[in-house]
Amino acid sequence: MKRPLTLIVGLLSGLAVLVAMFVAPRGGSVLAVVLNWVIVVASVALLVAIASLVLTHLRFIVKGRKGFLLSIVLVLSFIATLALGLLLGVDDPFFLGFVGAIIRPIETALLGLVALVMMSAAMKIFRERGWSVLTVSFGVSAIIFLILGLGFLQNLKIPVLNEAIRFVEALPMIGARGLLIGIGIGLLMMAFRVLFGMEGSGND
Amino acid sequence: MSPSELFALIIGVALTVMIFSYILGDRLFFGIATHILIGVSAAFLALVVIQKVLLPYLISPLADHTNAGFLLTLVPLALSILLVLMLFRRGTQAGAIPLAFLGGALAALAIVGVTRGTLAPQILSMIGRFEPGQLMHGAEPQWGVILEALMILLGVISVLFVFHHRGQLKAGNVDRPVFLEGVGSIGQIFIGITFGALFVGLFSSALVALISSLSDIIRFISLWF
Amino acid sequence: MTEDHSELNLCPKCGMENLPMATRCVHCGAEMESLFTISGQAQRSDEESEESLSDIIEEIRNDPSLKTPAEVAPIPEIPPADQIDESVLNSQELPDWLAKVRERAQEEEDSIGDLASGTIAMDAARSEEASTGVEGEFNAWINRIREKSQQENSIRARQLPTDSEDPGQVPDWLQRIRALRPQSEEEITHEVKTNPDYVDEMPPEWTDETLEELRREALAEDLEQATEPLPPASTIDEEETFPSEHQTEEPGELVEEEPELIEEDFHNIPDEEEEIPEAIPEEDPAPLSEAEEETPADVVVEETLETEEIEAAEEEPDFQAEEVPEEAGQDLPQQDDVQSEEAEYKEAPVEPETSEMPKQIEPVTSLAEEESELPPEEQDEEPEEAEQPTDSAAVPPDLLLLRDQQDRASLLASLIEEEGRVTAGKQAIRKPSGRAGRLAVTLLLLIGLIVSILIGPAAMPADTPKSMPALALSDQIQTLAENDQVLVVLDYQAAASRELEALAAPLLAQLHSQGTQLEFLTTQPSGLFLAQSLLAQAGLPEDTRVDYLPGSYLGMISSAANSTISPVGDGVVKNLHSFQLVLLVSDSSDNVRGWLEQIAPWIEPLNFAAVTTQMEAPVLLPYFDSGQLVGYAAGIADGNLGSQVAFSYRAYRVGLLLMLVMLLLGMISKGEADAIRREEERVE
Repeated sequence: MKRPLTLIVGLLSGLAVLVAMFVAPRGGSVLAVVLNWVIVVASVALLVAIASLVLTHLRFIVKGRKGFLLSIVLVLSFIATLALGLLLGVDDPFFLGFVGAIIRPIETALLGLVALVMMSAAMKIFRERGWSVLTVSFGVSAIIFLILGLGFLQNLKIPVLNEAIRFVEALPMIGARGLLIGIGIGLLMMAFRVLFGMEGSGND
Repeated sequence: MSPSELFALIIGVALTVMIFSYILGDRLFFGIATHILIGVSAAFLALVVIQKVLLPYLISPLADHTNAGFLLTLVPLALSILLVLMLFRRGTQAGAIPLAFLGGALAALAIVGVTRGTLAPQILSMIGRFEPGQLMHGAEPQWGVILEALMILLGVISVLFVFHHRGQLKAGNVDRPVFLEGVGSIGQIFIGITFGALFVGLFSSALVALISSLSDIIRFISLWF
Repeated sequence: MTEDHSELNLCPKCGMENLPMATRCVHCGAEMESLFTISGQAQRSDEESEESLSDIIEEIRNDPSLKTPAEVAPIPEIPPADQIDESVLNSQELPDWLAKVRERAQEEEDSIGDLASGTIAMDAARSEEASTGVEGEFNAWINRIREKSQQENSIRARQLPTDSEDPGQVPDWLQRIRALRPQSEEEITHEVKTNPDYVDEMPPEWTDETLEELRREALAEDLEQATEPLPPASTIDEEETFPSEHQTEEPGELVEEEPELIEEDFHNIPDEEEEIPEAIPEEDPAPLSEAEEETPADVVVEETLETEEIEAAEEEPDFQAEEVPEEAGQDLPQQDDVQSEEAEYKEAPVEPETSEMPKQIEPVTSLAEEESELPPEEQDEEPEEAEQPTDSAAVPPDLLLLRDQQDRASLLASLIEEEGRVTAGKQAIRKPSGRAGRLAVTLLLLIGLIVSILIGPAAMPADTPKSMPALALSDQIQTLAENDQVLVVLDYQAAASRELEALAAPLLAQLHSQGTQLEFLTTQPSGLFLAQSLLAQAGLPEDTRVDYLPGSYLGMISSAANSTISPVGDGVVKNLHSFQLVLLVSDSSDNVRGWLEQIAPWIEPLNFAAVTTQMEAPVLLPYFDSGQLVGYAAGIADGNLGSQVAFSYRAYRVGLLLMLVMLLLGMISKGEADAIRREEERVE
């Protein structure tokens, strides 16, 4: 259970947003102020998290913990980027190019690794999960969409086939809509629980 | 190719190869690359937050005492100080208040957003398919449209039923009539179809990324031959 | 002789009980041969089986233990569950715990497994049969065996020393299990559950924990069964009879032969880890027959022979022959003899357990070495044992294993061996095979893609049909007039930049060519450097301004609610009402949803469109269907990405084809595995 103060703060901020949104546009000013506060506090929370990350790795280096060489890499890259950014400014094209030249290939390669992992995982899916309505429909759907992704069928340009393809392509909408509504309801329940201090951050 | 482009290509290829070394079981170069990514991303994020958020939103209003927003800025300042205290062992409890503030505001936004932006439009869209104007063309019923509307309705309900069934399973209550099991199976079919499409979509996106990375490596190698 | 009649087989025709070695039903004469498999031995010819059958039946009928059960004190190791049930029912009142075990085992089919469910089936079949004739005699005889074994088990379990083993290696529960395990190396046939050994050991209060322990014990017994070579009849008889106290004092020599089989067949746990648990003094909870009591030296001889015999069994299916009739006459020993022999054994020059431990850690010694360690008395006996005829038909029932039992035991052995042990060795060997497979698949994809890229670009046909949302987006863009304002929100990470830029750049170029006013906003910090690349690909001026929107759509709500307070976007993007279209270039359907949920309700007439990755497209479909999105482009076809020279469409197709093959292979392999499993079940 939360402490009374945190409970009150959470409830007040939530109620302020709710009331402001329901009485909009008259409550627009209140909403704008509260949301600006949220943006600032969230940004500071992000900075705190970054500081905590760097401090943790510094601690690893000082203690010489296993893998501290990687911590050194992290801290050095952090300091270098920070120094360059402070020197040139965030909007400087060279600085942006430098950051982009590092982040882009790494993230792209990491996403590329996902393809490789999925490829090896594809064979295991049915062995691990067995046969069920869900796995069979999943497998059939995946195969059909892979075939559609190849583009051979579309390029045949047969009207009936194209209609069938459009129908098949629209099928995921049904499941996705059900999932969205289900997730929405769950999110709603969760939001109420957070609002009334039954769950979420700030628990003591 | 300009020197800066060549330099970027060399760095990119080197980092890409380091990431792909994971395939061969390497952990060192993969670890170096990922730690570089974390370090650079964290520093860039910190710089952007400081220069694009804290300076205009927090520091600038505080610098001008005559500004009307000065007093309003004191609240996020106080909350921010409490958050910073979390970095110290004795101040971890202090962070609960700003986090509660964030949680409350975001929860309220979610309530309004989900209700107005997802639940209401999606349900209304589903119901809207049964409007007489859509189902009938003059005096003739549009059987295709009717079937489609029914299928969507049944599919969504059955998918929601799968959610409900999972909740029941967690609660330990699994006694259900046979026809409800059938409805649940229909829901699983639709979920499976959606997951299949998502799986292919994810693979497709990852494949594009992989081809791009490989293309860069090949392009780099071709520069020397 | 100690025939273990615990493993009886039901005639497929009349359903009556038969001895395991019987190839024809003793009641109706029906063929039963297919039911039997002798572990490690080839099947005998029909003539031999027939020949021995009459001998066995005659032997059973002449068995004094069957005729005069009151005088008998034979010791089967672990009578099977069905017999236990019968005996308990017949001889004494059913204990509470046993009732619970049965009840729970009947309810939880998964928990008892196929092995035990087979036993339950036998129970059910037997309950319908009348116990008459030889069968009745059998039951009465077994009941007495069981009563006695239960009593003695409990006594020995309590006497188990606890200080003779490394507690760090073997947990308490495993010690107890092994202590209760009746001469695990010698067990041949037994059942998984309702073991009589537990009768006295079970706590009065039946809990899940104790039930689990019972299951583990049963599994452990299966392990023993699986790893057990088929010794000659006399060997088994003698092994079964040596007292547990003796084992406690000298376990090392007993286990030396055993680990070899375990290691080879079931796992790769290092020797140290393998043998230490085996060195735990194993209590023999089975009742002792005085006639079967032998010195430990004898036992060691028999154990030593086992390794020879399991190899010989492959070549000599007729091994272990006339020993059975001989030993049948020895089945009525006196308890006094047992005690005297126990005393002799205690005085025997055996090495203490502590000295045995290092020996166990060493690799399994050769047979010759083991024999050399044996006392002269044992070595003298060995030739006699080795000369025993090897007629499998004469093998007593306790030496027989059904094939399915052997298979299941092999499977379970690997599980039970991991219990309470360090499994690093096993994982270390398993890994390479999995990794090799993954590596092969990965390299296959990589090679396919590289070759495809090297062959050269293969453009996708430009007139490839687009999806419905993409067509709607194209229509929406076509409707925009000159000087219409379009807000482009860059909301993606670097990982998806290649795909999204390829999709968005042609659209932006088209919008620019139509004379629309484009305003750029990024909600992600990474958008600041990613925008450069996008603008360059779209052919837009390099000095195009890209504003950072902190807090993503939260900042936009703030701006929409009261633009005078919000410092969003440095004043560039303050009023969304002036835009005809908001184009969300995003790699996250959640962020798109956030815009649709949080911003759209504030500004009703505003149109939202999206450019997103293929993986997010299905989630955006409902929003397109509901009209919240006027259209979106996702994937290769929608953006005509395949027609771009920089992108290898052939490689993309190759990747999809390989994934298709992998999925199909996965399905086929699973189907094949299921078919094999079904076939095995059908055979069983």
